[in-house]
Amino acid sequence: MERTYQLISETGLHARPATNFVMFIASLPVDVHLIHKDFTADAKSIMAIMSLGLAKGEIFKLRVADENEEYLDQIENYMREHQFID
Amino acid sequence: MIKGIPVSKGYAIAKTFILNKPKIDTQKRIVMDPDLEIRRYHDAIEKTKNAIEKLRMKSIERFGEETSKIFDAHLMIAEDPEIKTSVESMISHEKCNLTYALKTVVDRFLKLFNDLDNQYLRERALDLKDVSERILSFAVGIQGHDLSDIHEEVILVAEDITPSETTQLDTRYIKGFITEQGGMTSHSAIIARLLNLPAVAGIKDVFKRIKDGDEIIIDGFTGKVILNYDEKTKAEYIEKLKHYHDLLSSLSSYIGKESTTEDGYQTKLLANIGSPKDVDLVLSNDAEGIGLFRTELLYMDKTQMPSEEEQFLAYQEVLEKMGDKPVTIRTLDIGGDKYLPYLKLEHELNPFLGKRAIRLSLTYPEVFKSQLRALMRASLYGQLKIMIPMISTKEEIIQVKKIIKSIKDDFDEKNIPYGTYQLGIMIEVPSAVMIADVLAKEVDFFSIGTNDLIQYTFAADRTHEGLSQYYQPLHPSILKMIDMVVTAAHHQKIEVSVCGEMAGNLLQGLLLLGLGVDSLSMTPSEILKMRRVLSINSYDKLTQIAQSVLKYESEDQVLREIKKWITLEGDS
Repeated sequence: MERTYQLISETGLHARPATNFVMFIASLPVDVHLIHKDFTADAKSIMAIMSLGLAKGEIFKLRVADENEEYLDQIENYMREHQFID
Repeated sequence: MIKGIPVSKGYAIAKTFILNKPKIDTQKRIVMDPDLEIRRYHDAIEKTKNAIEKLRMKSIERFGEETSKIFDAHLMIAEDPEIKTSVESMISHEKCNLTYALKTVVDRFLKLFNDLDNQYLRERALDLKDVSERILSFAVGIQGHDLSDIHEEVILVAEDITPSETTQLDTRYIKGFITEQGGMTSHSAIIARLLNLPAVAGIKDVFKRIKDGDEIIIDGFTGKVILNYDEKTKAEYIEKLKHYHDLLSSLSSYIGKESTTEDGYQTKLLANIGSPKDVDLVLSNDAEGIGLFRTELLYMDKTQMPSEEEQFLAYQEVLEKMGDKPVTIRTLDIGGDKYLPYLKLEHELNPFLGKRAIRLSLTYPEVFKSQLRALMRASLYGQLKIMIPMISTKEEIIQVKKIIKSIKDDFDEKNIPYGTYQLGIMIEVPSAVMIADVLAKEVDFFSIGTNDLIQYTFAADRTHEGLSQYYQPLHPSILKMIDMVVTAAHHQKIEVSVCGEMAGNLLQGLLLLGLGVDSLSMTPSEILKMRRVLSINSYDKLTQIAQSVLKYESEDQVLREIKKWITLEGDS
């Protein structure tokens, strides 16, 4: 399953908060993918996430397997708490 | 002679040691057994992770936690899943060798990072290079230079000193380094300052100009690298080096001591910093707190405004590391000679008399609020003092307090936790000096910014080369102002600190204490020097001198008088 978000973080997704975000996702026992434009990145890869160059205001999607919806909720909470999304 | 950027003070005279990267063959080859190649890759990653973990522990022990965080990032890069799967799939599809595959994948990322034109990513690109070279070395079984194998006195010459190499620097043999890349804030420069090793960065074509084994002199004060010199120059530098070395070793005995005068008056010597990266230097120089954390760097190195979260993390980090010692964080002070690429400011006819510091913050309340929110949230983690720059009227501070109140209301409503902190202002505009008694009722502390106070008092732009004769810190006009501010503050029982250049100057700093200033904030490297001269002067005498010079008529007169009475013992 996929959910779509808009990034509101001023620094985009290529600075220190992004590193912490990836560390958080890496701690989850499931696969997570981040999709931006035509690119799909492994959300546990700091290198891949940073190279997407996702900037403020841009739209991205997160994808997990259907049975892992609860983890997507967790990630969503994290992103809201850390002001990546509204 | 070559000139570079001086990034760490000191002198060194020694033979050069050129640090070449090990040459690893990354030509494409076809392999018979791709699976074996992938197993070798996994094995190299494991070895790399172990090596990084060891370096991390070593670095924490030697330099402190803050400086060692870079190795956490290195661990993440070493096991990065995207790089790993890309390399594996390339090996199995193209049946190629691992070194070629890894090099190709890494180069692709490096190109992406450099194309995105962002300071943070360029630094991460260096990390990726460092880590991937380590994996490559393990894969082919060639080890790069181990700097701990060097057993004669040398000056290192390198493109840059990588974080992993910095943990191997044995200061008995390595006397300094010069690098082609890097600058004041690069990891190697920070380490050099922590180790008191002279270093000069930013020397173009360093490998063409310097050969392995050349005898050279480096001067970390001026950035000079002297290649050919006569005996006289050498003798001169040997003398300088000895003198500086003696000074450093005498200073180390002041670590862990209180900052007290000969007759037992105790003050606090604080540090000025520009980034969380400076905290280990603050601790190694035994500062009793941070008197000025300039937040401009958090904003200036970027292409966009830093988020509240990003700022919060930076402030939290510094507060946590400083524990129960005070941390004074100054809100954004741009305008004047500093600007932000993403904040379009109107052209100013007189930038220093224009919309800068608090004036700008009140013009862009959203920017200001995000910084205040980050600060207030971070106040849970230490002894925070929030400092507002360039206050010139009472209304400004009232407005700031209103904004803070609205943030508190919002936090309370949303159940966002925040701690306690003090709110203070910089006194750097003559109008604030004249109403210091009024302002003292509104805030918890004052900090005098002498650089600006001097320029505004003399109406002389401090960046104007033709007006430097008006920079007169010891002029009676300035001393009288400081005296006024101290009197007004102490009447309301609040403390006064000084964080301009005056505070770090031994002679001027002592006079400030004589005038009743409660603490001095300076570059970390000056703290122990100040503590030493403090211990050989009497507070009683300093107070008397301070009172008598207030009646003088010129800076020259003041200077002559205090030089007679204040002892520096060979220091200048």
